Order: sequence, then structure tokens, then C-alpha cells
Amino acid sequence: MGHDRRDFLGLGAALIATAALGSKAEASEHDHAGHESKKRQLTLVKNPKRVLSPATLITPQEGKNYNPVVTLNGWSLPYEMKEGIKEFRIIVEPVVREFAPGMVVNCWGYNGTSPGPTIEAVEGDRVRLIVTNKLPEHTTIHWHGLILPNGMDGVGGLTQVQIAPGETYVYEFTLRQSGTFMYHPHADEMVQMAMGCMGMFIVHPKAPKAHKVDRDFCFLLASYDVAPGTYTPNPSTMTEFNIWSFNSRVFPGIDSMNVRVGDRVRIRVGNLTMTNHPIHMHGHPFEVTCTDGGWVPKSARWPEVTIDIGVGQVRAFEFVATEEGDWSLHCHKSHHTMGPMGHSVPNMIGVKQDDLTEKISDLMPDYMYMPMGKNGMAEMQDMVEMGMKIPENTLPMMTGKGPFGPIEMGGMFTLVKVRKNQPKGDYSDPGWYEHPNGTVAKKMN
Amino acid sequence: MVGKTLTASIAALVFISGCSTISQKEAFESVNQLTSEQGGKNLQWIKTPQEAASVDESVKALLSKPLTQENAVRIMLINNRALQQTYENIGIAQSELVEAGLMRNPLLGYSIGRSNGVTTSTLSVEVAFLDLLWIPLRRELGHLALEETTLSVGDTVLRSARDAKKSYIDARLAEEKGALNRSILKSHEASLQLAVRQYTAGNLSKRDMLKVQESYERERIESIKLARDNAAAREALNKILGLYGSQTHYTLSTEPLTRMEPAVSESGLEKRAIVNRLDMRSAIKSVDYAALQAGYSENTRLLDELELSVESEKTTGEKRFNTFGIKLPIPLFDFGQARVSKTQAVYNQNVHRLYETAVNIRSEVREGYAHLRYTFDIARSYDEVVVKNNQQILEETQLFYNGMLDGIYELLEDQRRLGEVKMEALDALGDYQKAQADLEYTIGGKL
Ligand SMILES: [Cu+2]
Repeated sequence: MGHDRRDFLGLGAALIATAALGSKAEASEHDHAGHESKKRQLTLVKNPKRVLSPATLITPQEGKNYNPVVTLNGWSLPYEMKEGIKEFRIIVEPVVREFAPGMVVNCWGYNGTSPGPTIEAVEGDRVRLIVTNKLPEHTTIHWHGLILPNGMDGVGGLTQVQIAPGETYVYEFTLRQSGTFMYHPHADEMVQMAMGCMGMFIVHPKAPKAHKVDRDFCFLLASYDVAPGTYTPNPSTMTEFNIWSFNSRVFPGIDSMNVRVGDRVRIRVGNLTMTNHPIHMHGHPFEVTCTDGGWVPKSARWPEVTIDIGVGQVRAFEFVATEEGDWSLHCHKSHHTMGPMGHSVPNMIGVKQDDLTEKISDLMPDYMYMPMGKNGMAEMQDMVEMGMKIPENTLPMMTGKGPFGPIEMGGMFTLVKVRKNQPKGDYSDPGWYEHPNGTVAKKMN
Repeated sequence: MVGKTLTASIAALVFISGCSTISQKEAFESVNQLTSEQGGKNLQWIKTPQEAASVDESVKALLSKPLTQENAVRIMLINNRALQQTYENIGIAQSELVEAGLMRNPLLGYSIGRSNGVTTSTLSVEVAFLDLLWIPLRRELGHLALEETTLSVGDTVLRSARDAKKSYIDARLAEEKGALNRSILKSHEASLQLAVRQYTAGNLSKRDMLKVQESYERERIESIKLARDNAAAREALNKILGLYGSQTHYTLSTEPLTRMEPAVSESGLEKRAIVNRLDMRSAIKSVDYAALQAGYSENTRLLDELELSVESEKTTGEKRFNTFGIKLPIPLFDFGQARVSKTQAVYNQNVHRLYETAVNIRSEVREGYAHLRYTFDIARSYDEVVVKNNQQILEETQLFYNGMLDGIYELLEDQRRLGEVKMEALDALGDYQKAQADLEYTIGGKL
């Protein structure tokens, strides 16, 4: 274990220091660096922890009797062995999460990030989870999907007293099953989940060979309502969310899943939004192998290219990466692959406006007015390209640029990059795929 | 002999009463002086066709370039016929002064009687002799009356200057609001054009299209109302400047209306007003006049009808017989006390009026200052906060439009709102400027 949390935070901050927003390169546990400059920052409590844009950090495998998961733009929580018990320390606190370069959100999360770090352990482990509440209100943690003593289930009022601000509670139980689980509050959960309190809990099988894959990725689906020009999600929103994210990151500001040809790949997805998400992957059919209820028996698996992940569900699917290339992986609800968009923007499809441009420009001489929407919304991307400014801390509705031009995607979208020469255990980004001659669609003469 | 004496006496009287009156020109010049601080310089009193023509020339020259507030006041001072009418009050007062210096004409009597071939002819001259003594007093009164008139004419000049300034401001506001409204209307027009096209393309319901049309139509009505207001404001200005015909085709200056922060307090203004206000000074003259009048009545209560007479009688065949006589009223019924008490009452009245005027003026100064101060604060808030706010809102909406977070209708709507706020700001600035014109009149000088 070469990296402890402090190192990680330092590295994370250093990485983003090179990003457009960064200012101070150094970061400490209570790092307030980053964005204070001119930007307004609403803070819900004093000194929120700010760890900006952590890139995926690969936990070294040495000495582990399991193959660790890779959390997209996240990390796994270190633990200490205490008399045979794996002891994890969890701090619930306000944090600032960078959703993509150019956008930060006042969230609530765990140990400096939202979603919180992935908890990884092994079937049969006895775990002790020491939870300190630094939120302005009480909380609890529910271990979603795990079989445990009722009093450890973390439902405030029902199975325990809520953890008041400043208090520390201890959960301790033995992991009786393996699979993919989640953790989240079960106290004022509407607010706390809308603010980003959530994380993944991976329990690896006792037998290292069981369910073995070469690459194991995980992320959570989370949605937020951050009004354009603001920084704090509206926790009372029920349906009209405008930020759709994988691990609270938004394409193109999200890790791609980089694998080697021939790898058996598992992707674990948990859904803590208020709607279902049909997650679709290009290039390979896959099989659903695990839910939060446990492993799916081999005989019951069936091939798919899209798996609908219901609210409060986890799905893990597996495939063998046989096809080289850059393959899209995204939610198939098209609004979920977009940035914020006005709900009452008038429909201008087929409406001629150019001759009114002069008239409208005359009315606003200092403003470069462009008519929009006549031929669809793709011109949005052009506007972004042209450097048209949009409200502060707001992501463009469409963004993302590929080797052939604008990808016009945001939100729940990322890539699975399959390469022949991606070294084993190497998760770094190989860049854009170079297509062999004659394998790209081309214009017909 | 007697004839000689008579002639000499009358000549002397004529001489005494005819001399040393102020000319009308002098009196008018003092109006000029009194009002010069507030732009009353170069008043012109049209008395001849030549003078009328020269005024026409000046007006023409002043109207040939965009009309500023200062030039509007200048035109009013020389060309407003109501003002010319008050100028004539000076002529009237001056004539009365001359009249006051004249002695009452002597009465010449001649009678002839005949009986038994004897003819008796009597020639008599009666002179209200005491009048000679009262002439200096009457002249003093006349002087006071002329001074009072001069002050009151000056006051009218300043009052008219204030009104002309305010009319000018109103006309400017109406015109500028019209211009702002044109951009608002144009914006509504753009919305309507888009809505019609959206409707035609099948993207907008008829109801929503009609709503956009309705707003456009309402704005059109608004712009007609503004045009109506503009016409009215301009006519009010024409009227006060005394303009008609082709003279009315002038353009108004577009120099921005200014806004200067008033002094921190009104201290000193009340005093200035009491000293400078011409109606105040005119009221003081009224008191002097009433006092003099009362004294005059007191002195003459018994004697003002004293008459001296000379009679020369000639009967045929006899020597001329001269009789000198005196007539004195006997205060049997009228002791003059009624006239005396009346003039005293009038005097008292004038004293009270003077106090009233002073109290009112002081109050007007305080109110006028408060009004100026508050209208200034309102105008400044509009300029420095509300207009700027709306400008920023529009800029932010432009960002929302860029991000497809808002539509074109919202963008145009905020653009219009900025225009509307600018119109309100203009009104506020106009209120301030009018308050300034009012207060300057109220204190009788420049702020
Ligand atoms: Cu979705």
C-alpha cells in the first residue's frame, strides 16, 4: 500500500492543477484551493472539503487476495487491520466536486469526494466502519444489499439513533456474501442523496479465482439539479434534473475504460438517481452477471447490449473485449447524455430566422446574436466552438470532441477503449483509436 | 397784474409736477438686472414693428440650431406675448407716476350778468392749492408703485422662465421616450414575426401566437400614446415660447440631461429666498406703499379739499373788484376717519400678507429642497442601479440564450425590459430637473 489517503488527495489536486480551473497546485486535507478566485462559491457549512477532479488512482495489487475494482474518477478507501478486523474510517461532510472542467458543485459526500470512495473487502471479512458526521444535520449509513444484523442496517429511527452532527458511530459486521453493493444515508435521504451522499461497496469472493475478470470497473449513476449559473444542487427536485452523471462526472470530463484485446471486463453500475437508466454499450454484447442480490447463475445469463438499471439497483455485466476501437457506453435516454437545457426553449425546427438577425442584433448592439434551432440543436456545438459564453459554472448542453469532430454528447456517456497493445494492468488512456485503412465510413462519390 | 400772477403760479406748478420721472426704459432695464442671474438678460420689450421684426430675427436664429434649454428660455423671454403684456404694466405704472406729479388743473370760471343796462362780468380762478403740497407725497407713492410693479414683472419673468424650462424638459422627455419605445416596439415586432413563423411551421399553437400578437398590439398602442404625449408636450413648449407656423419645425438638442448632486443641506437657501425673491421684495414695497398711503390719508384727512380762489369782478362803469377767497371743508359729517381707518386696515393687511409670503416661501424652499433631494436620489438609483441591473440581467440572459437554456423570446423580453427601465429612468431624471427648475425659482437664484 504505497498510497495513503493524504497522498491520494495531493495527487488528485495536483492533477487538476493543470486543468483549466486550477490555481494552487498544493492541496491538503482541507484544501480550499482551486476556484475561489473570482467565482462565487456558496458553501453550506464553513470550509467544505474540496478535492477537485480526482483522476482514477489504481490501488496497487501486491499483497491483496483480490483483484481491486477501478472506480471511474474515484478511489478505494484504505483500511487498517485491527485484531483481524478491517477498520474503515468514514467522514460524512460537505465537499466540492468538480463535475467537469468548468463546473464545480457544492455536494455532500464522504472523505472528501462525492460519490465517496469505494469500500472494498472480501467475503468473510469482519469489517468495522467508523462513521463521523460532519454534516450540518444528522445522518446514518445504510449498507445497501448487504446481509447483516438488523441493528447495523443504518435506517435512522428504525434500527438506530441518527448520528448527530459531530458524533461518531461504529458499524461492525461480517461480510456474508460477495458481489456489488452500495452505501448511502437513510436519514433525510432525499436531501442527502440529492446532494451526493453515496458510494459503492464491493465484496470480492473468498476464492480469488471465483468470478475472476481481467478488468473490473465500477461507477454510480447520480443525477443533480444544479440550475444554470448556480453551484448547489436543489434537493427538492423530483423529476427535472439537469445533470446526469457517471460518478458525478460528466462527459467529456470522465475517465474512459481502457482495456486490452482479449480481456474479460466487468462493469458494475449502481443507480441512485430517481429514474431508471438503460445503459447501452457499443461493439460487444454482454451478459449481466451480478446484481445487488448476488451473482447470476451462468445458466440464467442472457446476452444484451443494453441493460436497464432501475432505481436503487445494481447491475454488473461482463464481456470479452474482442473488438478493437473506441466504443461508446451511455444511457440510452437521450436527455441523459446532455448538459443542462432550457425546458421552455421554443421549437425553432424549420423556422427561418436569419433575416431577423439584423433586427435583433440592432436591438442588442454589444451582443453577438445568432439564431438557433432552425435545423436542430447541433449548432449548439458550433456556438461552443466559437467561444460563445454561457452562464458561470454551467456546462454546455452538448460538448465532447472526437477525432472526427464534435461528439455532441454530455452527461452519462463515456468510452470503452479496446486496444491490442494495452499492457496488462495498465489503465491509462491510449488516446483515440487509429482505424485501419478502409474501416471508416466514408462519403460516397 | 392778477393775470400775470396767475400765469406765473400755474407755470410754476406745471414745472414742479412735470420734472424728474423715471422713463419706462429705465424701469424695464431694472427688470433685466433683477432677472439676469436666472437667464433674464436681454429681455426685449416689443413696442414697435421694428422691434417685433428684430425679435423675429433673434428667434429665427435661435431656432436654426437644435434647441437647448437655455435658448428655449431666451426665446420665451423675448417672444412670449403674455410676458409682453406684463411688461406693459411698467408702462402703466410709469404713466401713473407721471400723472401723480401733476397738480390738479385750476378751475377757470366766467360769469356775466346784465340788469338795467349794467353788465357785471366775473372771472374766477380756483386752485386746489393744497395739492401742491401733496404732490411730492403722491410722487413718492407713484415711485413705490412703479418699483413694486417692476419687481412683480421681474417675478413673472422668472416664473415664466421656470415654466419654460419645465416645458422644455417635458418635450425632451417625450421625444426621448418615443425613441426608446421605438426599440421596444421593434423588439415586439421581432417576437411577433418569429411567433407567426413558428405558428406557420407548426411549432406554436395559435393561442400562443395570438398572445404574442396581443402584446405587440398593446405596445403599438403604447407607442401611439407616447406620440400623442409628445405632440402635447411640444405644443405646450410652442405655446410658452410663443411659436407658430414654420417656427415650430425646430429640433430639440440631444445633449444629455444632466444630474448634479444637490448640496448636502438646504441651509442658507431660505435666507437667500427671503432676500432674493422678487415677489417677496414686491410684498415689502406693498407694505411701504400702504404705510405711506396711510400717512397721506392721515395728513390730508381734513384739508385735502382746501381751495384758493381769485375772483375779478367788473361792473359796467365801475372799478374792477378783486376778491380773494378760501374754501375749507367743515368736518361736520366726514372727519376723514373712515378713509384713515381704511388705509390703516389696508396697511395691516399688507403687513400680514408680507408675513404670510415669508412663511410660505420658507416652507416652499424646504419642500422644494426635499423634493430635489429625493428626486435626485431616485434618479441616481435608476441610473446607477436599476438600469445597470437590467443591463446585467440582459447580459446574463444572453449567456442563457447562448447555452440554449433560454429561448429567443426571453432574450427579447429582457431587452425590452431594459428599454422600459431606461424610460422610467428618464422620467426620474426629468423629475429631478424639473425639481431643480422649481427650486431655483423658489430661492430666486441659481442653485
Ligand atoms: Cu439515463
